[in-house]
Amino acid sequence: MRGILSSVVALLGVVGASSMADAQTLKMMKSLDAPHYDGQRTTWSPTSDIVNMFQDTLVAMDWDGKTADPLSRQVVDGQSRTANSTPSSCAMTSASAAARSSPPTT
Amino acid sequence: MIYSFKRLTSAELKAPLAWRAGNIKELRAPDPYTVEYELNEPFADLLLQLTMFTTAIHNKESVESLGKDYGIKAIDGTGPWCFESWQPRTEIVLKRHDAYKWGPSMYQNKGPVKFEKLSIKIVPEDSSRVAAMMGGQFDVTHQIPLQFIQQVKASPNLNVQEAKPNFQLMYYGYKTTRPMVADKRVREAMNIAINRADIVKGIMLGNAEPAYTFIDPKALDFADSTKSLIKEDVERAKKLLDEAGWKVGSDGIREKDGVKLAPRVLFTQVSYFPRVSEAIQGYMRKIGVDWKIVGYDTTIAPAEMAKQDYDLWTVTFPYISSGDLLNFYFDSKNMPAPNRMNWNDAKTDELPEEGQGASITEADRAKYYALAQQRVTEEHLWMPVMNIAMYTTSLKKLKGVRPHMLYQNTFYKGLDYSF
Repeated sequence: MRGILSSVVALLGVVGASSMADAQTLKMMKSLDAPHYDGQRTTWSPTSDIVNMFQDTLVAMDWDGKTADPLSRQVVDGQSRTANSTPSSCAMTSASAAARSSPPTT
Repeated sequence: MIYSFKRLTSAELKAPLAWRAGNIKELRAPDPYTVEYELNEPFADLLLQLTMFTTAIHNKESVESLGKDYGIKAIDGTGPWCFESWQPRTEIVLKRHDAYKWGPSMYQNKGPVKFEKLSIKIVPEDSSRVAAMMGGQFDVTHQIPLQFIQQVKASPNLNVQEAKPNFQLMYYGYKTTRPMVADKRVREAMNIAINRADIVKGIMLGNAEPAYTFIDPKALDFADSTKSLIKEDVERAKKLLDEAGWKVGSDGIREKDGVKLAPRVLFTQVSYFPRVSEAIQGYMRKIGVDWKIVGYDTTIAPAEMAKQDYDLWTVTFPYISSGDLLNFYFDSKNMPAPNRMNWNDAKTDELPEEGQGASITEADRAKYYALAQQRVTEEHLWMPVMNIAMYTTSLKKLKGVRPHMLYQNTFYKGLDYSF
């Protein structure tokens, strides 16, 4: 009996963990992949949508399809510039996070 | 930032869309927060072009450390998502960029995004994507085949939103250096022998508009003068082919000097392309033209296109303005791709350049772009078929969804998406 209960609890744990992971993952579907994801080396639109997710342009396009929205408007509020408002890349973020979590050395 | 533009415009990279950055004289960074962008000549479209993925900002360290594997094994940037893994033709996984908080002002959430991960699965088969979305296996897609949109709209667990505005032309291009389609009269005959309204109604179920011009009449700098250049008229089409020396043979197919008028037409086996190609093949038979349509699977279509062995090909092209489309496709510098027409005409090169450089008034820019539109339309370099609607389909529980029109890229940054 105890064994069955343990299995049920364990299974509920797996299901619970899976549901939580699902809630944290957005699942998208596309019809076509790209040959690579370097947006400077292609005209291929399946590259472009992914590139816009992990890279920024100097100017964003508003919903109306014609108004340019400068990145600088978001980065700098016109009053102050701080290190926190400076865009950093994913690689730089990972590197600094790793540095913060490293144990001190003597 | 400066490194990105130097790389984009370098001779070694041969970037096909480097023109989007304009003719750069010098870029300067007088301090860490300022870029001075100096051009050799005016470029009226610059700000709009700087929104395109081609001009995205790259991380020099990543480019140099990854070398030829950059964009394949890894890539990074300052966007709201980070590249985590890629299984080609199967799945791309991105993860949240925790430090991101400089989202465009159009979003309520400036960052970071509200999901830890974004999984993007590649599902080439149309009906599989419809079934998967209706079965709740995915949260969002912008690639439900248009013929299924009404069915998906009726699904109780799904939302369907149309991107507005949206400029996407589905066209067939003529490779003018191939003998079969080198004669302008032959191209015009094909252009006026089809019934676009019937294609839109019968195949697209109304999820498109017939296109009689290369550029959508709602787009910036559209030329009204091009509206009357493609007039469907089957009898005139036959007459043009007669004049061009293509006579109807015993089998109903036209021929000249022992050669059948049977152009090779390439299309991708996805969405509406097969059915539209078959429909046009039927229209062509009525004027004695035997379209040899050849469909390729999505996984190999880019490679087949690159071989350049076709008289016509078809794609759907997203664009943001008349200048964008004209500069992209028709300049001789862009041969063999994207100028797959191999259209090498000094006048066509000159007019968009005048439009780009028109710094005096918007009217001047529109005037030159209008002349360029007229030139390429009168030459019948493309068969425009329809302006395509684009939709985002999402589960109803997903909030903050709004389709964006940029380059078939409805998700864009996805900053407001949440459950």
